[in-house]
Amino acid sequence: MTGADAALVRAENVHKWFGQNEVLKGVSLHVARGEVLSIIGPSGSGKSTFLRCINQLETYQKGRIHVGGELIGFEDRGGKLVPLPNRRIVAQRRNIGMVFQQFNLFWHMTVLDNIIEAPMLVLGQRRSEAEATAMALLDRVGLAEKAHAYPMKLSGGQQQRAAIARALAMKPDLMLFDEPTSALDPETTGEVLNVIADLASSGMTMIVVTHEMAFARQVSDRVVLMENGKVDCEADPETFFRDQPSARLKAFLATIH
Amino acid sequence: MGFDWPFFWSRLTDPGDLYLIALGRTVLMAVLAMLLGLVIGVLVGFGRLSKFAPIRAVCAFYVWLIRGIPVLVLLVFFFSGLAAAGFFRFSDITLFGITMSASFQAAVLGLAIHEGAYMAEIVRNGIQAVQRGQIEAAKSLGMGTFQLTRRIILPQATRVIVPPLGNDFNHLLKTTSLASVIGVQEIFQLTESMSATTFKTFELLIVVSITYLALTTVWNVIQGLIEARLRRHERDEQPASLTARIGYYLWPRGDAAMERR
Ligand SMILES: Nc1ncnc2c1ncn2[C@@H]1O[C@H](COP(=O)(O)OP(=O)(O)O)[C@@H](O)[C@H]1O
Ligand SMILES: [Mg+2]
Repeated sequence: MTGADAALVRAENVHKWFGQNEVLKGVSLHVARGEVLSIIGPSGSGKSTFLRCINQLETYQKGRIHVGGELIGFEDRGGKLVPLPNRRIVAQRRNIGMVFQQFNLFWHMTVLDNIIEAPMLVLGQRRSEAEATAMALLDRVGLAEKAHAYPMKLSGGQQQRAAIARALAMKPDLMLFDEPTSALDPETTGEVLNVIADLASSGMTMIVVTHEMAFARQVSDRVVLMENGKVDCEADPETFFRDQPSARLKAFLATIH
Repeated sequence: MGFDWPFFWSRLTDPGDLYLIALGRTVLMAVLAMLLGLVIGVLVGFGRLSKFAPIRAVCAFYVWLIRGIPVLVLLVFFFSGLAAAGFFRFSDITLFGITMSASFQAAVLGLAIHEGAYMAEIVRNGIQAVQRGQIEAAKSLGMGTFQLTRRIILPQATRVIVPPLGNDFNHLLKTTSLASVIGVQEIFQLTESMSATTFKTFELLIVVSITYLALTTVWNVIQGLIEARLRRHERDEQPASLTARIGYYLWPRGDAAMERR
């Protein structure tokens, strides 16, 4: 499947076990280029695991995930899935950015060094080029004056904005956000959500796992409820939150309001 | 009887070429054993975390074996034991006009193998202290195993490893005195042979003690400097240690660089 209107992300019947524990029980989802998909759902329903399968921080055991037409993590040999060598998996991750709940900035580097590290190391950019891009990104997330600060000296919100800039510096086709504001104080949550909303309106393809319902409603093109390792329902945000098209969704939304 | 002050002062203020050469040997032995031990420690430390069970087993065996044998026994084993069994005999080597005696080589090797086992544990702890989230972030940015080991794991582990490693070197500086037993002419051996001829045993032992103290004190300052540099990321949060503060006075340039950040 090719062409501009093809889905950038196609997950088909994805299964994942941790030992005996089946965590993903056949997840199918499509995300079109430029689309923003929000995933909500109770804790332990497999949202993080699904995101982490997309960039192969976890390996799925059944089903298929395609990103940009490329099968992630495996080679299809006549219907049989053969794991790719690590080198190929590493290469596939380059086009997929990820933002973590705990920010995970490299604490031994300044903010600027955090951002230029992968572009120089992985993409072979010259320092001057990488720094110019990094400063532009820091400006965009409102952190230009913190370029030379170490992460430990920043607030959680500032760290998360720096982490977003770091992921964007690789110029990814797809951004994955795993509860980007769950570790933040209410005061700094807003500044991070604003940066993500700004990114969404710039046409970036994104999958956002979040507990911020107002944000999901405002920014997403589509919202999905995951429960117990499965997609329970999906709809455009208006329908999703107004009509609440499933009993489970009604129950879940009732627990958080 | 009594304390011979003039003799003591003359030994302390004018130790003579022989003593200075012996001092150089002590320091060189410690530095070489440390460097070699560090190489062993890094290899074995990583080996203990290898994906391959046989490698893990061999490395664990090495650590278990060496940590269970006294250094003194190791030194004698390398110098005399191997030769007595006909396995290997160290012989003098001359490099760039400097002769390394057989006993010196055996001492460096024995000390390095001893140090390596302790360093392997320190290195392993350091690697394990690197948080999973740091590695996942590096992976998500497209870094390969080698790249993220070199740029993320090693630098972060280093910050955990350096303080105990520095303490180890302090220990090693003094452990070199054991090499006197296999005939390395370092400061303790020289002290012993001089006291046999002068009978000024007490004075000479105080001189050699002061020498070791001076060595470890210099090292403490260097260690403080290194640690202060490695703690740049958390400065302001933690008050500088005493040694680090001494370091700032001795190395104002480094201080200015730190203030700028
Ligand atoms: N590394 C792991 N090993 C074993 N079980 C795991 C691991 N990661 C997650 N799980 C389990 O998988 C399930 C789904 O977890 P997760 O994807 O983190 O859910 P969510 O992000 O929706 O809260 C949970 O039951 C969790 O305990
Ligand atoms: Mg989660």
